[in-house]
Amino acid sequence: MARSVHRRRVLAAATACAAIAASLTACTTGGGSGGSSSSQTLTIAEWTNPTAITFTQQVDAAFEKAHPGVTIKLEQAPTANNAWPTLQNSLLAAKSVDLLAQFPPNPEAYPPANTGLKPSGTAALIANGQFVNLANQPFMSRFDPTSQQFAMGYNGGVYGVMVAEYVNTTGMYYKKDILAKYGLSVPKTLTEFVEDMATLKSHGVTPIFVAGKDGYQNIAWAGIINQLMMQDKPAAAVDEVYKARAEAFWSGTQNWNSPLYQQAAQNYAKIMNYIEPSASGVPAATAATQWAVQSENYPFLIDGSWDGNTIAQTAPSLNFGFMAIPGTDDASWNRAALAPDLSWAIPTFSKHQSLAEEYLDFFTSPAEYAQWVAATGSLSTEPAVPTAKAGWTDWLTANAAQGYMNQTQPWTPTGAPTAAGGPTLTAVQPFGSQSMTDALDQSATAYSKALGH
Amino acid sequence: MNQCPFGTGRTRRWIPWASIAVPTIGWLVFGLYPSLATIYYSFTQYSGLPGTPLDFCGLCNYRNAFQGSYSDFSAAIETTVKYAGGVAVLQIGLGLGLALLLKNRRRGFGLYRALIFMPQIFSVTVVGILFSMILDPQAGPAEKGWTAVLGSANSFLGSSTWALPLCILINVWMFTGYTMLVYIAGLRRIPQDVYEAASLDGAGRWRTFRSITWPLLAPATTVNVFLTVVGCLGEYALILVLTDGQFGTQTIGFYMFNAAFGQNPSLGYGSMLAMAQFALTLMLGGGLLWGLRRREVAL
Repeated sequence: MARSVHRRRVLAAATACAAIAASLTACTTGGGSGGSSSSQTLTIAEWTNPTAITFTQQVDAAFEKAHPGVTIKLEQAPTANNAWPTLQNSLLAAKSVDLLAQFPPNPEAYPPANTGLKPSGTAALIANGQFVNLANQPFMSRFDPTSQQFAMGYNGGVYGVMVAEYVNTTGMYYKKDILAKYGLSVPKTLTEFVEDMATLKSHGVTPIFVAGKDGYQNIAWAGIINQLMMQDKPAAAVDEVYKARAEAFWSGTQNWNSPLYQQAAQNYAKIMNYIEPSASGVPAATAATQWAVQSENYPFLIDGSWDGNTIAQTAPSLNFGFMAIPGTDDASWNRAALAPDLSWAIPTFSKHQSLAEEYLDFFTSPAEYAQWVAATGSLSTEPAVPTAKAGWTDWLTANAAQGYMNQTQPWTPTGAPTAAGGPTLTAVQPFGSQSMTDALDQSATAYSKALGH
Repeated sequence: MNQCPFGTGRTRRWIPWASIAVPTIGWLVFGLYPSLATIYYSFTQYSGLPGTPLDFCGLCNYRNAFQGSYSDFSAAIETTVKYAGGVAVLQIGLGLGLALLLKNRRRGFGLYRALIFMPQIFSVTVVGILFSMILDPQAGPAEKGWTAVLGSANSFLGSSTWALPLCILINVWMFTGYTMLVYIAGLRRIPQDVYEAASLDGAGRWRTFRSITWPLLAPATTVNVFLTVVGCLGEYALILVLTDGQFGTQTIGFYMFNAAFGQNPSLGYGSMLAMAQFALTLMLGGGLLWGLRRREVAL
């Protein structure tokens, strides 16, 4: 009996040793740095932008081919209905992602200590050391360091590589043939823009289309604020301007009903007079394609430059262009605000950091990156790679260099009412019943209360 | 002589304990622990993102929620109460009406009952997408019908006037079949001789309904009202798909989900909202249950 027990113990110990040895072997195989004999799975997560996803899949296939034994698993979810944040948060919580697409924060996402506010979202992850500092990676030398620092920089490090940049706020498409049909030129000032729209309306044409259900009218509102704030200041002054605004809001010397926002509200209302009446029910997912197929109506679409290629694919014969909204009466102020977009970040918990860095080196190599820029319609963030030219990018090609980084929101405490971040445009005329003046006053009161002023 | 179902000897002692251990552990891990964590998180500024600090802040989230008349919190409570009230009234009324029409075992009635119940088996996402397409102001059939009849445009789910009523109606469309079935079960339990006695006493249809059917349906009404209201107090999925909480449709459930798991998540603030939702459900659900059960006893 005793011998039998002993034999069973020996057998159990041997089995355990074998299991440990097997798992160690598996770990060694899985944790290698990408040699041809290793078998590794690199998990990448990216929000669903059809052209970007298609291109990423092509890069993944090319990378797998160049790295035998490496398999890439691409996770994706649309940005609508919180699907993307939900996927991202679950991947982070499970520590099961090696390369994660991020909407970059910016310098104002890290409020100074005296505000008592904590960074949130991506900024919180960076500030708490959850992403690898890529500043010294060789591939970072391909990029403009200032814009990379603005997008993913923190305390001297750069915690992601920004590979896409679009004109977001201030963005507008126009149908060249409709303007030509009514003898109109592309407007350069707000007055010209309003006159054009009045002419078009008198001919039974509804001038503007927008994805109002998803709040894309904010592109016009925030764009006008951008243009009024930046005026003709150099692009390099942008951080200083936004920081001064954030501090002015925080100290109570500026608020949503200050003169600049009153002026912005007047300009915004002039544009909104010509909007499609039912636009507040149009979702972003279909707005660009719906606009594209109606070649005789809606000469203008308020939308970001990321939809340019989608429009071109939907209606290949449509003769359209892209420009910054002429939100003010000074043509030199009506520049485009550039929004840093998809930035790749490597979580510090990733077991395949070296491989992820190799992937980024591969992805950002000029040959691959030029294709990425062409596929997505993004502005190039690599100085050596020119922004791809398409039929609709003529204005962009000529004027993007005069653009500046998109504005940031004033600092607001957690739990502050939505109104504290500015008017709720879906509730404001013409989509809602509230006047813009009342909405600004409401926002000013909400912001003051949130800060205890 | 009764046999012990757990055998004899040692097995008799440990099998009952093992049987309750599994669900108990499940409840501790998936019920009690998350509930206690939610209570604790509601006193922190925790983002919920890995590696970020908990930042205990006492009652800061509760103070933020009650800080002013423009608070999203009070607006969300108001929307939730309107939503739950609207759904409850319409769904109970419609469910009862349909039950009265279709309670009998006649040819074809089974098919009607099945058709009315069918939306219940669709997922919320399917229903949401279906109605988003129907109500699309550019390409949807509803807009074409509206324009043809009234000659004006309507953005439906993008309208601050129409969005909440439409969400209420879509919810009612989905779940009226269930309410109807509960009422049919209740109606079939009312003895026929009570109706015969009422008929002999000369009671008309309305008098019979008011004095016999409605009072004797009290238990079914309790079940329907309680389940409908409690379900609506936690509603977020249908709102998420239909309007993304815009145009005056942000319920407390949606607000909580968005705050805790949105683009810039704040699990601390979201947990406070979950506590508020729990309190609201306890007050309204508990109050309704108490009132409706008292009505049953009184009858």
